[in-house]
Amino acid sequence: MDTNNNDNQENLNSQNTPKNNSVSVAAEALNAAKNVANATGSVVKGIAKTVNAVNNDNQENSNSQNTPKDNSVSAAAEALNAAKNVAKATGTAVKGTVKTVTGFAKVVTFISSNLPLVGGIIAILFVVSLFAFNPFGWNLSLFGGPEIEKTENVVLEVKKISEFTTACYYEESVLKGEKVAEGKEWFGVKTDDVVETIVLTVKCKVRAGFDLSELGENDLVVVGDSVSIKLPVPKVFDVISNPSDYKIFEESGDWEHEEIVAMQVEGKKKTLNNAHNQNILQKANTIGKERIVALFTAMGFRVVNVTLSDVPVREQAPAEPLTTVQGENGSAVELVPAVELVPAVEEQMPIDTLSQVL
Amino acid sequence: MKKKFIFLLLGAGLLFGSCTGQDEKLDEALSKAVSCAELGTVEYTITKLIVANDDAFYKFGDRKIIFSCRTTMKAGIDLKDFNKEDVVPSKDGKSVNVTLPQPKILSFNMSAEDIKLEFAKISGIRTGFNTDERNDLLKQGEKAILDDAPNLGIYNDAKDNAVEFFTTLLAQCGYKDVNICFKGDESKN
Repeated sequence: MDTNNNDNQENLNSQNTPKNNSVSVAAEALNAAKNVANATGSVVKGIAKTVNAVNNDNQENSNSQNTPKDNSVSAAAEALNAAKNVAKATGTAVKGTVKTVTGFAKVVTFISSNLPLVGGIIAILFVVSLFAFNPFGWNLSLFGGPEIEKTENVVLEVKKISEFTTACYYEESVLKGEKVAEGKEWFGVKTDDVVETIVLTVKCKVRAGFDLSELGENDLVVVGDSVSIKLPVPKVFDVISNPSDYKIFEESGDWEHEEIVAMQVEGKKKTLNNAHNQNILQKANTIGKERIVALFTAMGFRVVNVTLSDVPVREQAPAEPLTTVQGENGSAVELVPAVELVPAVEEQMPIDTLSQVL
Repeated sequence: MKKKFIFLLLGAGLLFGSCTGQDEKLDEALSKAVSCAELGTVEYTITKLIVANDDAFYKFGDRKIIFSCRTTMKAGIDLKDFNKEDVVPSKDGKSVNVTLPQPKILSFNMSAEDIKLEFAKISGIRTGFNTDERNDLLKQGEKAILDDAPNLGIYNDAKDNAVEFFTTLLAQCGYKDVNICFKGDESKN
């Protein structure tokens, strides 16, 4: 202990750096502990002297007479023992304190002399714990986010179809959900309610055309080099928005899978409605006629008559890019126009090329 | 002091100016209806479990999640790749040779309403899967199904049905001998 103290003293003398402050504090604490121990020892010694003196007097008197003051003598003896025990305990505590202070001083000395190393280790531990706990919900996909396991793709049904798709409608929109989360109670104090928000961008595709399996025997009539065909009523085949078509632009709070699904379903309904408002079925009809004429002309027919079925009249709903609806759990689902246009042109088939081709 | 104030004003102006520009962009309607010519000949209904177990040596605890999904995949002929030279009638008009383009996946639909969260477990100190992470897992599932399409036999079924469709159509048109093949393949009939 003295050796360490001396070392610290030497360090104090040799260099005047911040680390010496902690060492000197430790040394002061050590000295203070020593002083306490010495003072306690002196007190105990004084009590012991007094008790011994009283004990001697009593011994002398005990031979001559047996009086009640014997009780006080035994009490003093007990007090002496108790004082001794206290002194022992104090000594043990002081030793423990000295050891602790010495250890602390060593640690402080080590940290002071290896500051870059210790700082680096602490920084690494801090960063690792941040990634491990991820308290701020960071997107850690950059570091290889969770990956799915390999599972079987089970084919439930195989169906033969004859879908002749002639018109596609593309839309990019924004789905916005808001809900109010009740404040939480911490030690009897309730925090304010919080508005939680989620914003998704979505690309959606609507495919429409003719189901040629609905063609009856009488719908296709060939006479010489002329053909007559009556096309069935055009219909919407698919409204497609897959997971890869969604981007989560902003998310605050906890959003359950079912809440997101409700928003997505609502978004698809609105896209379908917008596609109808853009007369997708009429376009499918018009384009379909051109395609069929081109196809049969290419097959060698000189006259091609195409009869179109009437598109069922549909109530014209207002275009809905800016309405808000109530989702599950009181969340609102809002559709607003998106920022970027979907580059749909690359999937378009130029009509003049088609007529040349077929 | 005056300079600081001017810079502050300029910064605020730029900030509000940029926000206004974004709002104007948001007002643009973004949709487009286009023409296409695709003949879908087969539809597969596929189910899959999307399973993820997110644990690593540097993470305290683990997270597990399972989705079940039901998808539909349609394959057929994209007539965009069909040229005039691909239809060759004989001189007598009794037979015809047709060369179709190779079939492709025309649509893949993994609807949100057909994706169900079956199980999720988050141990003690880990945060739950947020929407972005869940969607990322579903994207991986989508890609896994699409990548597996050739092994499912959908292309062969699409070819067979396309041959049947065109044979029937051309027979109805009076051709007695219909010969259909695919670009890069041998003759089918």
